[in-house]
Amino acid sequence: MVSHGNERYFDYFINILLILLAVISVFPLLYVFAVSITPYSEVLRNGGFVLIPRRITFEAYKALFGMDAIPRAFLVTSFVTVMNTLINLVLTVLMAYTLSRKHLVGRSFFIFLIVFTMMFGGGLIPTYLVVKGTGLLNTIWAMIIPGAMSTWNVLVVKTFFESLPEELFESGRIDGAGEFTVLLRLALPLSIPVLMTIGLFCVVGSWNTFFSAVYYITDPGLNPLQVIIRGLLLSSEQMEYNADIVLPTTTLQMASVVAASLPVIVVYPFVQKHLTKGMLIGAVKG
Amino acid sequence: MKHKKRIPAVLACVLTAGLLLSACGGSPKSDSSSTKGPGSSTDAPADARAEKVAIEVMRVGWNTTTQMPKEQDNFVKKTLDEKLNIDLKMTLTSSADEFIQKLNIRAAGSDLPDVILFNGRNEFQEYVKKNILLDLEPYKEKLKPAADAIGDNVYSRVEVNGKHYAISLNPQSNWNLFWVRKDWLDKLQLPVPETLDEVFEVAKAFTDQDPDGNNKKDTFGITGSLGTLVHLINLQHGVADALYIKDGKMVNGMFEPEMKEALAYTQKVLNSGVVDPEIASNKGDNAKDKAFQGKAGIIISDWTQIMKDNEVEKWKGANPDAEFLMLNKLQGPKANILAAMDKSSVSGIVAISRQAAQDETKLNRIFDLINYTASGEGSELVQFGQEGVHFTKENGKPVITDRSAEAAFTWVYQLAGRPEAEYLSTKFAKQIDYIQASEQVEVLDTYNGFVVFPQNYNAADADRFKNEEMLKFQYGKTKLEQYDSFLEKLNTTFKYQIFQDSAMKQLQELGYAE
Repeated sequence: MVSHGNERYFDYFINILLILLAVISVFPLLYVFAVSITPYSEVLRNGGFVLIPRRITFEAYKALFGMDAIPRAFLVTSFVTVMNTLINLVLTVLMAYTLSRKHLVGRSFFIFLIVFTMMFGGGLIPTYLVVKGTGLLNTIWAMIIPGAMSTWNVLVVKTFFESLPEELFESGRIDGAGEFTVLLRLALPLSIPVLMTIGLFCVVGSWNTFFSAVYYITDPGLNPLQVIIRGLLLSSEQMEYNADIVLPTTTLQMASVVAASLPVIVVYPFVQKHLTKGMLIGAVKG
Repeated sequence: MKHKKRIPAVLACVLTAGLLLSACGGSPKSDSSSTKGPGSSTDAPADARAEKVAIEVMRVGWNTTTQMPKEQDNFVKKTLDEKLNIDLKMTLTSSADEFIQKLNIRAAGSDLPDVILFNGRNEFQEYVKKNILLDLEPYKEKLKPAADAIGDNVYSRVEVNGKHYAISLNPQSNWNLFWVRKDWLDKLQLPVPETLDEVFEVAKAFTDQDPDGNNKKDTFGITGSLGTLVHLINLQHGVADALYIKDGKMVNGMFEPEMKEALAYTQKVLNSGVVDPEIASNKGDNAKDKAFQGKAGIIISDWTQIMKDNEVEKWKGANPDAEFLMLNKLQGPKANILAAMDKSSVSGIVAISRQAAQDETKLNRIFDLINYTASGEGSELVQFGQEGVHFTKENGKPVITDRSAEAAFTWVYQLAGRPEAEYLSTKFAKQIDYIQASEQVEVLDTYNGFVVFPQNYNAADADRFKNEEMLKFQYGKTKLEQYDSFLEKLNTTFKYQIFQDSAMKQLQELGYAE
């Protein structure tokens, strides 16, 4: 028998460890946030390191949102995020449901086709040519359509649909439901966790839209947030010093980081409980 | 079972659509019949603008990319569009990497911008090899106004195999020099250093004698980047890791006896504990921040990083008593040189894509654009902004107004460079002393830029080996006695000798070496 006392110490130990871990995780975020609301001269005086600011100023945020590019980039990114997530969810569900029906003619052939795209892609330049050829180049849709569907997500949702009891669907059909009704009324309400999970992946992914913009967008008005933020962060990193360039201060850079990550951080807690459920998909075969 | 029959058809439709998307589309509907210019694909020109020619210029814009005004507020674009009857589009990237990435993809998709402003010589030469840049030889007459404004070597500096594919923009000379905290010198009652040895004596005092008066030994002497520190020490020994003329003969500094002396000096300095221990890993603003924070008393930097208004605001804000002094004259153990500049160095390489040249009107408008920004009102527009708003004229000389900050982005439109001295003295009138002082610096001319790497020499590998080994010498990890065997290995295993021979031959052919 393990004595109770020992067990309690072990619990303390684990708790302390977890608290430490939590502190380590929060620390950088706190630092970024603290620097962003501290006057720059104060930051310098403290050797570049501030955790609890003595004086608080929102100058950096004012300056940030005073730039033409930032509010515009927020709009672009929001639009891309919303559209991308919607389109992704609709297409993924339609595709996954179809593929999950065992009586589909040529099912394994279609599955092979989509799995094929996971292993072999056209590569960057052919993709660029497709985007160019379809006239998407330099439009906001260039950041949405090429990634409108993820094979991996399709397979995850397909597996989930397959795990739903077939009897349920049969009972629906007996009551006169068509395939679409079965999908909308029976399958979807049961798949909220998985939809939330891939929805969140999509939201985070498209909020971080970067490469598609770098490749396909040349109109500065269509640049998403991350491209602008990178411009702010990079400029002090590796430029051949040019007398004309005004470097952004660390506080401004940090403010841009906070502004860019806040929306995602805010969304997370609301989706988290679904996320944990969604993570279990396919983990246990029933 | 009526339903069952219909389902496969519906499913197949959905599937087909889905497949196309997940595979990123099948073959695109070809629209190759229309040869519309790259920038014009989205906004179809209305009838009124029919004769307007769309021109796209691509260059690295650094963080100015984020500071471009909205199109309706962009007075430079408006003026240029109106004057030259063009629809000018600037494609800016926020880094050099992003620039070349974007350009490579577009080159592969034969969708190049019309005018490309390269920052790096290597990338430019790569593009010349790809045969997609326009040979400017037949058009020199048309580009004469710009070429005259830039100077004699406008083409020769960026010559590739005897051909001219670009105009080159004059280099900027913001030397990296030692900047010393004058207030610390005064506090410790030290004289302004006049020799390299004295610089390091001061650095020692800054490290040991508590110049900030907080009774803590929390300061060190010198910060900056290791590269610039080593470079300055080398130059003060009359040597550089480059090709230059010594006693009338073209030499490679790596093989000169002074290099060993300079290395010994560097070893001594790096091991004396007066240098920022992180100097080898300092990036970007790190070193500058340390100096501004009062952690280091000497920083190696150029005047733009210390003395521009917004920089002064930073360090004055952190420490109102701070004062920085630039050392533009210094006597080293062997020489008084403080800077090296390649004879071929440029601040930009402006090329035109062959694609753009297919359209005669467009090509002419491109020449108009480059020429217009080269001199007169066009040059003033891209340098200072609008007359009467961002600058006024006093005795024929431009003087900036307090609204000039709104014109901070105009430099991206400088397609033919700018008269540097005039430009700086106007735009940075307050900093004129520092600009002039840094012009008095003793400069070593180097010639590396003229050399095209020989075929069987892998520059990247050789450079990596060279830099790694040099770092070991600098930190004393390798004994100096082994310098000769290091050179031997560099020459044989990494074929540096091939480069060396080829370089000497090329420089002879160009008439720089005997």
